[in-house]
Amino acid sequence: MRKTNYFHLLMIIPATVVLLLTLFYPIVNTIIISFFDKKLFYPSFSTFVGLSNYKEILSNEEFWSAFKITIYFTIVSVFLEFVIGLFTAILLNQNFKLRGFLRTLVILPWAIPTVVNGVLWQWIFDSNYGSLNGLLYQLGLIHNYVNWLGKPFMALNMVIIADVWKNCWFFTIVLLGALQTIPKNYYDAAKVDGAGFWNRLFNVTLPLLRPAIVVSLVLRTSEAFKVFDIIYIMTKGGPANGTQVLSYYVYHTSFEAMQLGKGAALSTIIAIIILLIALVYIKSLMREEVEINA
Amino acid sequence: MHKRKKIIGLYIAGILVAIFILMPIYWMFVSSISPKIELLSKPPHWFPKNPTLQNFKKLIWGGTGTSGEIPDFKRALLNSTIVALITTTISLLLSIPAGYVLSRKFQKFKQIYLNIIVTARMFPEIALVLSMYLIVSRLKIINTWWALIFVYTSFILPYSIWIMYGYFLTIPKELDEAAYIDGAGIWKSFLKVDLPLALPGFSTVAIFSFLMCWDEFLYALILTFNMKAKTITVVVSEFTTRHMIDYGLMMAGGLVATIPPMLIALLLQKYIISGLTVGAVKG
Repeated sequence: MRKTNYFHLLMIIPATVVLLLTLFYPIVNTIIISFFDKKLFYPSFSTFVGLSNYKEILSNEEFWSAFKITIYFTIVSVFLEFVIGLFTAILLNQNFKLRGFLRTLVILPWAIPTVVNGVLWQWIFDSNYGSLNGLLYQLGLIHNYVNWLGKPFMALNMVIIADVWKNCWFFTIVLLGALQTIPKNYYDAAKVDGAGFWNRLFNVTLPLLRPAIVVSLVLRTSEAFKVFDIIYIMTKGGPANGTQVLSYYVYHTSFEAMQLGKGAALSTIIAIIILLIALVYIKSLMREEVEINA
Repeated sequence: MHKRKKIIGLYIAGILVAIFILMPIYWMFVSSISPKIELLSKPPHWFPKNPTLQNFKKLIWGGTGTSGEIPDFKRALLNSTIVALITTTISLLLSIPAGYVLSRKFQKFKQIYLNIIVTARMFPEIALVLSMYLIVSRLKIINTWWALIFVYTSFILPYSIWIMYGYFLTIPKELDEAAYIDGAGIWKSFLKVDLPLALPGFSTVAIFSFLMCWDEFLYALILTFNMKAKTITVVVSEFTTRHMIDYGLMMAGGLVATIPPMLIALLLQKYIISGLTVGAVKG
């Protein structure tokens, strides 16, 4: 078994060929197109333009606006998801009767398709007959129905709420898994020392959860940075480009404005940003391994 | 006394979490069975007075909604199911041997291979959509199941290899070496010893792959034009782009699209949790 032979090559070659064809060729192709001025439906008219697509994008205000909106969306949604996820994980790690029921329940929003989640919240936020308006009106919190998705900044925050409702349970599930590996006597010791809830959270729980926290945070961060589906469904980037995130901007540039070359350059820029996030991820993972080995 | 307070606190928190999760799902359900008059009322009818299955009947047997001709929902379900099943099968067939070999051989090359895979998995779908569009048109498979299967394999396969690799790592090398020494041969020791032990890994890969395909929207939106290949997510999204939005029908459609993944999640909870935890810890 020590020698590498045909058997081993035979087993790894098919997957590698398929990866090269379906994944690496498209990546290379995108990068090549980004140096050309290429229009959809006129594929024969493409001229080499060097870096001018990149220059144009980086000097475009719409790009920077989309960039800022994406950063805002990512930071706020991931932060809220993490906080809700952490506290529900701690809750589900306690010994009480509702626990089993809740553990099943948290999987439900996670299982709802992203598109369905989008249309569901669009309906909840509806300005004429939406249930959020109905509820707040009946509780006396508002006197007139609000057009939740009608103003740019408010719409962005409402989309974040919809995203958080679906995705915060990912943190619950992952962090609960990690919490269950912490021995009970760590807490008993802390309790004897008179440590309160917050003290135990910051001095025992969070440090021990660090590996799981880092990995789940980076995974969700890169997912949130790529957000497209829920924006397309709920707001189409509007109103007034208020929810136009980078992915939607690529979609708009490539398939609505039909500027393939520019869309490809934009794609490459986003990919570089996400790869930087991935690098942080791999780096932090490597460090974990070193720590464990040491 | 102190303990009792804590228990009450836990129950209150637990009930709040349950309400937070269940309210939107409840509302989706109620909206799907409410007649239009109740749906379009201020304030809303929280409990339907005259529940109706009208919307579900329309989805199954077709007809015209307020927003015009209803797309063939059954066909969309079929498209989604077939694309997800074939992609899952292809990914399993390719990732099992690849994951196995990476866990046993190519020690130096392995880390590079896996790192490239993880990095590629981080590549945003939107960055490749353009390229995929051009490739799929050139292959003349645009607007078919095969276009989606081609594209979905590109992001399911790296994930599958990663998970399978992780599962094979947990199986001690000594086991197949022992079988090999007993004269089982390479193929036999792989098929008889390692494959059965990695079964939980297949289930995890299969479940996640199916769910990811079912959930996919962006590529389906761009690579399919009509009911020949449109998937369930695209059809559900189109209820919103017509001139008038038929929310009752949309919620019914959404509910139908949610049932398969939700059933999978509830019945195979164990695998989902292990998949998410392994995925997060290892990749």
